[in-house]
Amino acid sequence: MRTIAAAAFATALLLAACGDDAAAPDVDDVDVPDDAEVMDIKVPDDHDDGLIGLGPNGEEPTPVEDIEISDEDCDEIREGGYTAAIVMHYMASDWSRLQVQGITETLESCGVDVVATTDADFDTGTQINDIETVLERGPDVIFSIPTDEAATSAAYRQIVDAGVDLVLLDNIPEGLEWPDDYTSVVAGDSRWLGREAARLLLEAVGPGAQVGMIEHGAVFFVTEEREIGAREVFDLNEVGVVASGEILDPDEGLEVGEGMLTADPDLAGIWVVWDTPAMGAITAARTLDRPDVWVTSVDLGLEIASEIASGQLGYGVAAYSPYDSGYAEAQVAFNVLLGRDTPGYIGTPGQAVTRENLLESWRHVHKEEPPQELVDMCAGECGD
Amino acid sequence: MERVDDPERHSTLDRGAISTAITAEDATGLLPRVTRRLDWRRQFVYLAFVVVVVVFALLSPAFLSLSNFETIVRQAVVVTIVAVGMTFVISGREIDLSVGSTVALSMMVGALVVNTAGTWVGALAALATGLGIGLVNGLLTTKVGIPSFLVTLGMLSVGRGIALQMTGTRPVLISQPTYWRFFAEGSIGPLSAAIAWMLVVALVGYAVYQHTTFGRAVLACGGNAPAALRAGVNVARVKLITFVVTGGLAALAGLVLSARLHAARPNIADGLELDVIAAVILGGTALFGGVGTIVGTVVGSLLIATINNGLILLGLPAAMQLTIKGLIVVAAVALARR
Repeated sequence: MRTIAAAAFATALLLAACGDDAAAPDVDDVDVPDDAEVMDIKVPDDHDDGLIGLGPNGEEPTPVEDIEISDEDCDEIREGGYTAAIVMHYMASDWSRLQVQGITETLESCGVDVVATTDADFDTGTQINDIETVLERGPDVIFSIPTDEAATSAAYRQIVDAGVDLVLLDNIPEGLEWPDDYTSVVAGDSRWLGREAARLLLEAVGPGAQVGMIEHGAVFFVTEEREIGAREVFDLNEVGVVASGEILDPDEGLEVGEGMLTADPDLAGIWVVWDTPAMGAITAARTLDRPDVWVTSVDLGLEIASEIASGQLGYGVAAYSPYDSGYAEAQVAFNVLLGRDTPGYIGTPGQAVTRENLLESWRHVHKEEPPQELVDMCAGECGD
Repeated sequence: MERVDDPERHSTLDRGAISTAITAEDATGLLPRVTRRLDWRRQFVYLAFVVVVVVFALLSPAFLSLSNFETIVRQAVVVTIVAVGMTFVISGREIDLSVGSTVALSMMVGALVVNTAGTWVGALAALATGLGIGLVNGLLTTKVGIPSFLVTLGMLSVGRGIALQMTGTRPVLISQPTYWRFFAEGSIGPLSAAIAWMLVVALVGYAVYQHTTFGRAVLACGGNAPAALRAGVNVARVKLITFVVTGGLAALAGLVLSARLHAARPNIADGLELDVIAAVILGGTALFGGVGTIVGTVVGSLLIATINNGLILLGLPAAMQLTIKGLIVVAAVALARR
């Protein structure tokens, strides 16, 4: 499986960097040469054990491999003539596009027809209408991510009352309980991603450097988990986070980054909660003529990939494949259609992406060949 | 200041000049006190700016540095460039809510063309996009007679939708150093190109607004359109031009922003119209037209950038920053209200 391969690859990277298997009792000592400097970067001892983050309700994570169906199961589902609908919070992002693609392609591989895909454009009222409209189509399964965990709760209750199986992406509407109200929630392993991005930052800036964090100003399960993960790694390595800022809108990354870099001339690195605001921090460093600054983040968008390719400012990201999450969500639906129980939380593992494995990682995350412009920027330095 | 019905007089004479003249002639009595009060209110944006600077300087040691001041100015560039155009639109008693989407769409068109046909063709394509959007806004408002609020609200969605569809929501990288330098990263003396563009726009905007027949005509249209018509002003044409200019300036802002980012992003500048309108109104332009200043707009934009910057340096939570920013803007407008 791709996901196993990804986890194995990420682990292999770490182990390769170790030189030998990590044997420390509490932590794994990872020696990563960075130019002339060598730093022991400590990570929590469960960091390399696969999925580590718990689900939104503290559920233990289950890997998708545990619920994948067989070819015979697939044939059985095909004969059922089932339909599905996808109710998204927002479609204008790679994340959403890849999720929907993963769900749709996997469902179609077993003959389940996606009869509607809706985009609420982050508007709660629109999403409530979307749910009601989609229910009129009478699908067997609905895949959805709520725009708002509280306000959409009653609308999601309608899905439950209509007897339609609900598969959740990332977030759980308030008041919905597993297993009575929804089948599973599928999410990236945000804790791991946050830790890994922090580890990459320490790898980039070396020992004793000052780092800053740009965090998400809203309470959101996935971003909060990333921030907790990053702080675990910074604390473990006794790195003080000397600057921190918050954003509500990804465009604010630029202003916050400029503010942090202006206030702290010695800042060597910035950890950013996701890649779009990270581009703001990178632009800030470029504008303020601070080529020595490194930025790491989570998710592999084209812009940050181009910075990683150029070998300046953008050191690396921790990323998972939203397509793989979509694949897992479809597997949940298959199990439900077959009348089987599904676990409360399924995690999608992440991997570390740096210049050395950029092109390979792009293929893994985006399920397509990297764009030519990205390949050009690599100048042959991105693996392959 | 009360609305003056004669648009020619009102727009020709600077309001400050009116009050100064009256004060000199009539040194005692109620009138000078009233005009002094009006004057104080008119200058409110400058006062607010000074107060905000002093408060942040006291609260944050990093605030009062030359490099931070440069940062503030740079952060005000996009809003200022668009706000200069918006000052004309609002002075003419119209509104343009589509500027954020225009920035994004022009930027996307520009970036796609830059990568195939080079910097200059790309820049022209972006500008043509912005001017075109402005033209459509203006024609629908003036010829078809749909209120500009509705026209531009629609354009806000249409422009954003097209920008997002062009690449399936993906950003477009711009790998032309000439483009980066010309619109943002190059320097003219001590000024970065981005700031230079802003100054050029502000100076030309000031000259046109304050010292040309067109500037007076805009104020006349906004102050009293029937009177302006009677005075021979082609109200529809004047308003149309203000929309076209604003569209063009939004495109220029898009060029500057994408040159800084080395990329165009279709979901960028979402909600920009709110900061732009706030800058214009803070600067003393009346929301219902007829009165305005470009200098005030520029200072209004700097005030917003300063508030953003200061609150970030103080390290406040983002939600609290948003609240404080909103309160300061409302308080400033309320105190400066005529």
